[in-house]
Amino acid sequence: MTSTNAIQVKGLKKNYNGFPAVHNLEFTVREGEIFSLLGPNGAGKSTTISMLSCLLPPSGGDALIAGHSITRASGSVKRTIGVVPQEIALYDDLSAHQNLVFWGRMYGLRGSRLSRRVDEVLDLTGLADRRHDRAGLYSGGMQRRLNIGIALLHEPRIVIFDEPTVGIDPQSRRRILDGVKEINARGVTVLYTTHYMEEAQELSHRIAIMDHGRLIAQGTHNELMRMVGGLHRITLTLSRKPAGLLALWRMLAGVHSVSEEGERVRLLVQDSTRVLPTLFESAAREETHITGMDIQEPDLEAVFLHLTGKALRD
Amino acid sequence: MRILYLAMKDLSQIIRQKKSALFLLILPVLFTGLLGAVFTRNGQEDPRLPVALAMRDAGALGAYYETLLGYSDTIHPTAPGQTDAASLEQLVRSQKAAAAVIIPEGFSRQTLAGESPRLTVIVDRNAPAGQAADRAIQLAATRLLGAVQTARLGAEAHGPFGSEAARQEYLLASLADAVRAWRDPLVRVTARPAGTGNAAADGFAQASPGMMVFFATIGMITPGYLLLAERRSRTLARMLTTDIRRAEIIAGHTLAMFVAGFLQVILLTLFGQAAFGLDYWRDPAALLLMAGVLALWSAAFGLLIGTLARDENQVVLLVMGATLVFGFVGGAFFPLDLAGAAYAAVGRMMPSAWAIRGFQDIILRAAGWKTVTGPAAILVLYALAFYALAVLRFQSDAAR
Amino acid sequence: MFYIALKDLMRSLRSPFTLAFMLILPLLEAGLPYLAFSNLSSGLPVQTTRVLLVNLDRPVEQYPDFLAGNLLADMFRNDELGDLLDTTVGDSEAAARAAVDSRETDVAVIIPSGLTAALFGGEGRTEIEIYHDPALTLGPAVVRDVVTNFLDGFAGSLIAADTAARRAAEDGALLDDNSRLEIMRRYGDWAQGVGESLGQGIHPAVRYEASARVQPSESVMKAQIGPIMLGMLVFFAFFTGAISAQSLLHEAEQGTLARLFRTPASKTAILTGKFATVEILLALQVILLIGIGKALFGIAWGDPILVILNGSALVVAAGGFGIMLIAFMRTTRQAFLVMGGAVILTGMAGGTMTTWFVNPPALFETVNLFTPQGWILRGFSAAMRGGGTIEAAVPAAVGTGLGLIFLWIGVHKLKAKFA
Repeated sequence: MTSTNAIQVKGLKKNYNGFPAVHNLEFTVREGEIFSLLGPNGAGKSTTISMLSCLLPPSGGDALIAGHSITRASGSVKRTIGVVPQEIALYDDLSAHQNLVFWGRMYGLRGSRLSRRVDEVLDLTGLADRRHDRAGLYSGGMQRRLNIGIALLHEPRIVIFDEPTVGIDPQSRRRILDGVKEINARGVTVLYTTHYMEEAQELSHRIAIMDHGRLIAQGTHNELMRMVGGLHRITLTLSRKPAGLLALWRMLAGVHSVSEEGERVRLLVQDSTRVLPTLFESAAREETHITGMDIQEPDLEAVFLHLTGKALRD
Repeated sequence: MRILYLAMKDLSQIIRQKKSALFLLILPVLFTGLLGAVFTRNGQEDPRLPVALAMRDAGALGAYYETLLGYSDTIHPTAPGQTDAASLEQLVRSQKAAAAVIIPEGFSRQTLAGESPRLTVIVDRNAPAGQAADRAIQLAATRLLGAVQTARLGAEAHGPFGSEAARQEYLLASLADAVRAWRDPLVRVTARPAGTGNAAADGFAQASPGMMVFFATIGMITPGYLLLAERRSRTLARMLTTDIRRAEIIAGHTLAMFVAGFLQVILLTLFGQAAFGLDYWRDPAALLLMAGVLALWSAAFGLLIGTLARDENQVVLLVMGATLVFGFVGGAFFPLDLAGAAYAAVGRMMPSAWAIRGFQDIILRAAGWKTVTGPAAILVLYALAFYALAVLRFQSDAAR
Repeated sequence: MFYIALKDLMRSLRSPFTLAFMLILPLLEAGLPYLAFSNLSSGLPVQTTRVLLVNLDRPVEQYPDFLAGNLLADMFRNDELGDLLDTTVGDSEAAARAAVDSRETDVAVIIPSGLTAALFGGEGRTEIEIYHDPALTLGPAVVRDVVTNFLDGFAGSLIAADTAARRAAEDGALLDDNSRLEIMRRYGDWAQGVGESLGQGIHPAVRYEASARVQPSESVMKAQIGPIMLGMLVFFAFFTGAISAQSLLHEAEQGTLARLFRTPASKTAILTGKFATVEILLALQVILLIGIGKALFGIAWGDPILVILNGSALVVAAGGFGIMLIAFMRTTRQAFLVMGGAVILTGMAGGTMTTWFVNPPALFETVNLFTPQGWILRGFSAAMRGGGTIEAAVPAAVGTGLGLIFLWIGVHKLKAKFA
């Protein structure tokens, strides 16, 4: 990992019919790192990816990808990046080999380089033995691998993954995450979008958190954790929720925030050991039973909760 | 180069969809043969339409009527096995005879006695063959009455006869003379089509270009579907993340559809030439020009369908709906001059009508490439209009 | 079962696609030819044929002031032909041919220089040529009729005079010029009377068998719209059958079918519910199209009982065919191509698109018996033209039988598939 910027996003905006989907986005991805865009559905991650991969023209601002502007030099940008879409975007009536040859040509590969890269990607994705079978006959996992392999054909310096693990089983997910790390280990810069904080946490050198089209925080995992200052997250399930009780809890020393989610109440606290007895006592006074309890160490979920007042998974 | 690779990929997908051969080749060949046969009676020993003649009259007039029918260029009388009305009607319904005529008993006697007995005709006057047969039946009947009138006028000019038998003899001899005279009239009427000598009325010259144009757009079901599949599977969006330009993508898809459509037209003209004797290849430049512009228009149509449809069923709906409209209004199923004036005026503006006109110019008028540049230019304009709509739709859809 | 059918029915009727296939397309495709022929109520189109007449006729010595060609030319300028023929006069045969070649006119009538000579000068035979645009069918036929009728009147009067002269000569007498002219005049009067009668659609020596299909008085349009609408009804009913049966595949792909099978409802009840939906949709379509056809185009479908018989046969056959097709398909993607191909192939081979051509070759009549559409069309057509009960009921029975066989095959296959 070097300190050169692979991607530099400067005031990127996108409006749909006057409605802002992405606001003044500013972030940089350094060469060789895995950078994750984390946020709930509808946060604007896919719109951002579409702009960075030159699919959508921005309404304002710009981004430099390996020094090329997405607004002025889209051709150079496209030659530099590989994009792995969320969907399995390949021709299922063609074989893996035919798909790779076709996509390789679309990326401008020809002759011996094309043959070499097709063979290498077939090996990399573990599809060499079934290279001549129709892609439509592959298992979901094999199709995912081919889907990723296509983006690597032209040996891009930067690979953009758009939520590649949505709706797949844990085993395939594990393979994909390992694959992303392997690709990065070969020196490729990765921009990864997800709404799973565990994935961002596991993969990323740095993370940017998005919500409602805005970037609300960015940094390394440790930097983000520091924002919640080691706060613990307590989730309580209550038999009832008297308003006075929650108001009381908000005023307690060591309690940073209290939010309601259905039957449950989430609290961010400085030290759970010291706060918990008070919580139990005050609940008992209000004749409210605590029927469930979960205490978690500081994590990205806590950061999101801290910044937005709501859970990432909502 | 990328355009070529994209087109090659599309073509290999089209070929993989074996069912597309059904739309591209098998159905058009089948239905050209069928519709051509509807209009013509090729290969029969007597090309004239058969008319069943049930003779119940024992006199001379019945026989003369048969003789006069036999002089016709369009029909020839045949003797049916059974002569009851129901059997004759069945013959006409089953198309074994274009019409049937019953000459009633006593027809000669009553006519010569100055009465007006009538021939009974069973015919479908809404069918082209029925109309032709009807005209010939009426013409022969008029000539028969004319012969009777001739005999009467002659007898009156002759003055009094010695006996009724002498008068009858005179009448019969005059009748025979008059009927014979119709065999070779002094003045013949000959209809001669301009150009190659073939006419649309011959059937295949109408059906072959008609079906070719009809199936040119039906054949776009598979390519249209492939484009839809590309949009839906997001491979189109993925392609846009490579440095291929949108224009190249559109050109690649169009090229594949063009090649498929062009090969279809070429094969169908070869078939038309070999099977129906239509001289499509008299001037290869003219044919290649028309085949090219028809393929261009159908490719633009396929591109439009592929960008408009939201699912597979819509591809079928849009292709079927539009093709049937182009076919029915543009004269693929029947010559437009059979339709009402307003309808024909609208029909002649259809791209399908211009395509049929261009091909008919070649096979009927022996037109060279310069003559077909008119229809070709209009088809190109239609292709451009469809293409523009498709591109607009493509631009707004591709990035979504 | 009832709820499954109800749910499917609501979904289908909410889909603009289904509605388009069920109602709009068949009406559109029947309505277009209706418009095409709606001007044909008198049996003649109102499209005017452009005629360029070249009269090269020259007088003969005996009658220096008379030209038969002028009479023919006058006839073409007759007001009564004004709607049909737009006649102009040219003087060069080559220019007339060139005008046809370049589409400036539709038909050139070339009256030869020897017309009068042939008719009155005893100078042998000649020919009037009708040189026409090869792409036209009706206009040249009309022109040929006009010329033939004219010549028949003329030739008939000459034949009358010649015959009388020949008979007189055989008796050793000579027919004088006055008698000859008198015969020609009287023949001409008679021919004119016949011509007027023909103009009113009555031939003095011909009467037409009044069978429904072959009624001469019926207008071309009225007679043709029925078969066209019938063809479209049958063609699109089979599309509806296949498309609505496709909901089975959709549900299988979405997983809702598997979920349905996990409910206490029996497999038979679920599948019956699905089939019921297909049949109800078809019944709706058939009833609506028959009703609209009657209301909008005045189609006489025939004896109601025979129509109901054939309508039911259509519902059963189209539903069975659709279900059988879908049963053999694995995915909706595969289904749409097969469905399109099979329905178009059997529909066209069954004669649904050629009902109005009327005069198909015998082989085609045999081929369409191999398709369910062919049988259903046969039954409906028999009812429409007032054929006998057996003539209409037997095809209905065959159609229903075929439908049930298709359904049986489809159900068998589906049960095995979802076992």
